[in-house]
Amino acid sequence: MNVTEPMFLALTALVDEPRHGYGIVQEVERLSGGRVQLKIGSLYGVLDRLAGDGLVELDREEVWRGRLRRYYRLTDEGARVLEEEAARLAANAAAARSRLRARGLSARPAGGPA
Amino acid sequence: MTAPEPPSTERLEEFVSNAEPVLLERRYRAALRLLPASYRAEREEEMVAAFLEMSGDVPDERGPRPRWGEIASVAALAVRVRLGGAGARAAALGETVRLVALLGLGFQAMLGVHGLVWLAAMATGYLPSPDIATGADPFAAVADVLWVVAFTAAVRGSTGPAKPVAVAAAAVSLVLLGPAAHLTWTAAPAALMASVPVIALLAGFHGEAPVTVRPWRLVLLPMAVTLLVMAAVLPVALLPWAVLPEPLLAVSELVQPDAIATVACAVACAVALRRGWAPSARLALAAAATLLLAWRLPLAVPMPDAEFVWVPAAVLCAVLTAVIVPLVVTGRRLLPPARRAESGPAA
Repeated sequence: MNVTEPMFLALTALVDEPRHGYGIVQEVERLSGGRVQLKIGSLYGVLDRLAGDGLVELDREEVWRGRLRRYYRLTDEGARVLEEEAARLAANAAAARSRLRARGLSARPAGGPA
Repeated sequence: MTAPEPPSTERLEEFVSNAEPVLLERRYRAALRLLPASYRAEREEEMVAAFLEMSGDVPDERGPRPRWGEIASVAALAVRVRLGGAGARAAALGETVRLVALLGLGFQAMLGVHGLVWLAAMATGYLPSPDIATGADPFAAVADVLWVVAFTAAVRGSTGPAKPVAVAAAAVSLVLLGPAAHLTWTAAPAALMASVPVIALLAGFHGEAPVTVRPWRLVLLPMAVTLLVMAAVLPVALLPWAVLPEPLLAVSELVQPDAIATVACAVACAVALRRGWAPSARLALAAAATLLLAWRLPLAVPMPDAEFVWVPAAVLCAVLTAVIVPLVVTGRRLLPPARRAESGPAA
């Protein structure tokens, strides 16, 4: 399955504990260093997809300050998919770093002082 | 792992505040009306709660409104839910929109091949009279190529690249319509024919839509038919109109790519009705037939001494009208029922 960055970050946000909608938005923003700021419509698009694929599920419902909060948790399948995706991204990052290092070494004689 | 049973929403909603909603909440709930009622029944309260938590307390006196980005995200969610969200009905409607996109792009690709062949025939001197050719504008050739590329990419499952190419093709086609805008009878259907497939492509092939790689023969068939017909028609185009007998002129009107597409669509509509095709195919064909009807209608207006033009067009329009209505009626009736509102997540 194609795991987009918001999906990846939302799954990561649920690894340590179940979170409700706005809690996921906050955690995704924190995890991405402020780069990914999910809109509410986008968040529920992501949650629909993850729940539809069985990667997250409803944990509990609470009423907070008179409003309904639904908490979502990562399923075992969600953890497995996240692990696979993390490994894939890590392999890509390692390949990129390795090639950049090689490029830096080979470029040094040409770009260095004569 | 056994999931704990969540408490029932009905019971919890008794504790949800029923105080007068603040202005921002009312405005956000108004934006949420873009979503289907069944989806709102499941999600509205938690979406409102998340939105208000994110926005903080904003007094009504400041006239707060949800940001455009928030409204756009709700609109995008509404498109996704309606055209591919949970439920068989949404999936069928999504498939309908995707088929409309492919049929519309296929039509434009046929016109594109036609225009490019005309241009090539003129460039090589095969067609001596430049006023015969309609695809003489080099910008039209750009649009022709873009339509063919967009159709090929969409059919082969590369809908990501197909989208910007189709948008560019539609933009060029619409700009080219500008000088002909005074011809409102033909410009309006042409503008519809250029824009509807692209809108359907953008809306139907969203992130959650299934990726389908369709066979090459679906790409090649419309183009091959256009080329074959043109191989037969181009020699006739060299003859002066005056020497052609009227029956031959009428036939030549019917072997234009748009007329072939109309005939093919009418046949497909009849087959869909007879063989009991899926509701998505019926509704998509009805939409395509409606667009083609709008396209052909200006030609079906009776004109003196031009029966060879308007009579075939009128016959095709009558056939299309006859099949559109039963396709829409049966297609709608056969659509799976809308998802009933349930408590809990939309999983």
